[in-house]
Amino acid sequence: MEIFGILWQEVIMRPMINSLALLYQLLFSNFGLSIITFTILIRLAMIPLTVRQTRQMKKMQSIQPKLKAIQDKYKGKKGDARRQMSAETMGMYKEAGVSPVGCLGPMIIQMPIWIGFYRAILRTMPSTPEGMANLSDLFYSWNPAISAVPFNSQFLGLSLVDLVSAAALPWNYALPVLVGASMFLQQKMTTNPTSDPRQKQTNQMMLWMMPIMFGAFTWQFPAGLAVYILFSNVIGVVIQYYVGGKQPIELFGRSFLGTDESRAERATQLAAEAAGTSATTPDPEESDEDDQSTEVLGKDSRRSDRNRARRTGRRTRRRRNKGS
Amino acid sequence: MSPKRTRSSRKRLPLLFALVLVMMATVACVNDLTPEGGWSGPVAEDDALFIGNRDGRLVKFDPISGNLDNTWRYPSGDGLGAMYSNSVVIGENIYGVGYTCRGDKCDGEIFGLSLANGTSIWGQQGLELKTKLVGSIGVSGDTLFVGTTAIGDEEGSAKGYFYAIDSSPTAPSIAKWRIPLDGNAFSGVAVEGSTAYIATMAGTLYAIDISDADDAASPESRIKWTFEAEGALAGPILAEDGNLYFGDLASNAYKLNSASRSASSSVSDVSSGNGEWIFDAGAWVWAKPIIEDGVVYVSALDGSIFAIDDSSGSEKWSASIEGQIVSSPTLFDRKRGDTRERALAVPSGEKNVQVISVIDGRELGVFVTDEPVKSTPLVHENNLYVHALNGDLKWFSVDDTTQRGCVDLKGGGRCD
Repeated sequence: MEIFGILWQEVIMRPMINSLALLYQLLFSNFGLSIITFTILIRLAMIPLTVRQTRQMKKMQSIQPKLKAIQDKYKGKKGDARRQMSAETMGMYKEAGVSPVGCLGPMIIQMPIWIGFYRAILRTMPSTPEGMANLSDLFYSWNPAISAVPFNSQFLGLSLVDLVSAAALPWNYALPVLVGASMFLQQKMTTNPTSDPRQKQTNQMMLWMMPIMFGAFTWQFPAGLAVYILFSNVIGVVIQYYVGGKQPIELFGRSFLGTDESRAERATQLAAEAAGTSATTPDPEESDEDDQSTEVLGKDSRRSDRNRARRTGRRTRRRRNKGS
Repeated sequence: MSPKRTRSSRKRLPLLFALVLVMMATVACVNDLTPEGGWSGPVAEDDALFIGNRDGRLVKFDPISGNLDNTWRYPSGDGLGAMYSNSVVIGENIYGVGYTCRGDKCDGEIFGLSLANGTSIWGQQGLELKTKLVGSIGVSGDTLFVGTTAIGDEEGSAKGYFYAIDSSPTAPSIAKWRIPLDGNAFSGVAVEGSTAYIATMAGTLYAIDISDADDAASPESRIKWTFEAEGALAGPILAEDGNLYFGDLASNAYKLNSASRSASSSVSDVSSGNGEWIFDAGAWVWAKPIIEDGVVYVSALDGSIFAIDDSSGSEKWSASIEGQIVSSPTLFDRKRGDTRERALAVPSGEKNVQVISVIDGRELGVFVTDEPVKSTPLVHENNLYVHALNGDLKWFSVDDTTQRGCVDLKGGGRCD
């Protein structure tokens, strides 16, 4: 267990503490600016993860009609048929290279950062004599901020080391609300679209429960951690917006932001999902040839997938012929 | 389990795991706000030792029997929380400070007790303040002086205060007057003559006129001069023969001449012509320096000890031990053959008390505690008494460093 403690201290805590202290020294002895800058740097470092997550979302969108088709095929059936449906659904995910819980990836990666940041704030601005004395062991010898201790914890009327619940009005209420709202927005932008009713239910739960719970937790966090989470969410929303191709954000039945092109594309997708077809469904013969990264379950599964794709393709062509 | 339930459970597991992690961090890290103490060393008076234990209680130890006096402890109910400084004996009474915090709400108490029976001389309890009380009390006549941090239940409180307290049991009001300070006062108060000295975490050393301490008018006019150090001033101050010795968290040790100062001054005003100097200790200096025979011994938080020539500020020797040195070492005589030699007993925040030669800093031995030590050891009747961080009081022969006994200061039982 001791090795985990040492790893935690050397890999997470000391770099965080020294980074915060160095930024404090560089940014006019302002710990609030230090936290915000640190947040920006962390989020920038996570851009590759965000890009990967966005690709996952787009892939998920593209296979929605196929997933709907599988659900329709096994609708009303029980027993082995349901297991077969699950297997075909998972096979579809694998074929497309999509993880149904892909949206959780960034959040899980951020967990040790949040926990580490929580402790880093308490350790960087200790309130006890032993905390202050122990801080000397955490600084790197080259860090010029070592002689700037104790750090000024005040930022815009907030004491960054005190709990949010002890902050003056309006911060004691505004911070939890802002953290919850920003988290809701970020969740909204990163939730994988799905036609699976059970997945939809899970998504809805996460969309509302996570922001509400985090908003409530914020009440008992040091204000500095709340500032970090808030800015992390806001920067995450901005990054997601641009990396995701400036897609409109849908809130309470209305669309915000987005370009004319992305709004039109989104409207088409929604209409297609509602109709159970997709305007972007690839030609099944092309998808068999071009998809080099397909991971298949087995011969029989591959054969049945091709057969199904050919049948879907024939149906699509028939519908197009009828329309013209 | 059906496939539907299995898939949903798998999806929710990472989420639940993540939430549990956050909750664990939230709960576990609340303890970072609670002071632990354990830096209070034993104080000898008559044939008894008085120590602030890890529960925040002042207890009485009988060195002859090797046991605690279970009828003498303060407070009798819940402890004060944490005690970081030694208590002070004045006449028939003993005075000290302690505090605890719940979250960001702190409760401190300045107590005055009868040596005879451990009861408060001010009635039911001492002076209670919503603040942290860390440093030791200063004394002049019947007035006590103590430094605080911000007062929690006061709107617009200063960051710290210098309090003058009436030590008389019959005083109508315990607090006489106070002076606001520019930062938390962890250093405690040093008194020499009619001047008290206190330092803050903002890096300011105050010299305060404490003559006619009963006069409560215009307390801020009592500030004689201030000195701005390079770093925060956390540790106690040594005031001796008109000179002040202290360290800061910018790794400096200072010697200042009190009489040559007036108004405000800073590091650039330190003058070797007045016998003053600044010494680079290479690490934060928290422990109070000690001086003997023209040599100043300075200890740093990285375990370094320096012997510095008092007049010139030049280094005579340096030594190093494992662990932080938070409290001052103790000078004592140890047996060397048929003679006795002078040595330093240096408390290590890692474990044990190291014995260092005052001549050249060589390691001469060790008092084995197997526990961190963050209090100043006491030499009494040829024994060295150590309050270890685990709450035990251990005592050793100063001549051969063998342990002679151990008592648990919380439970009162023997631990040897």
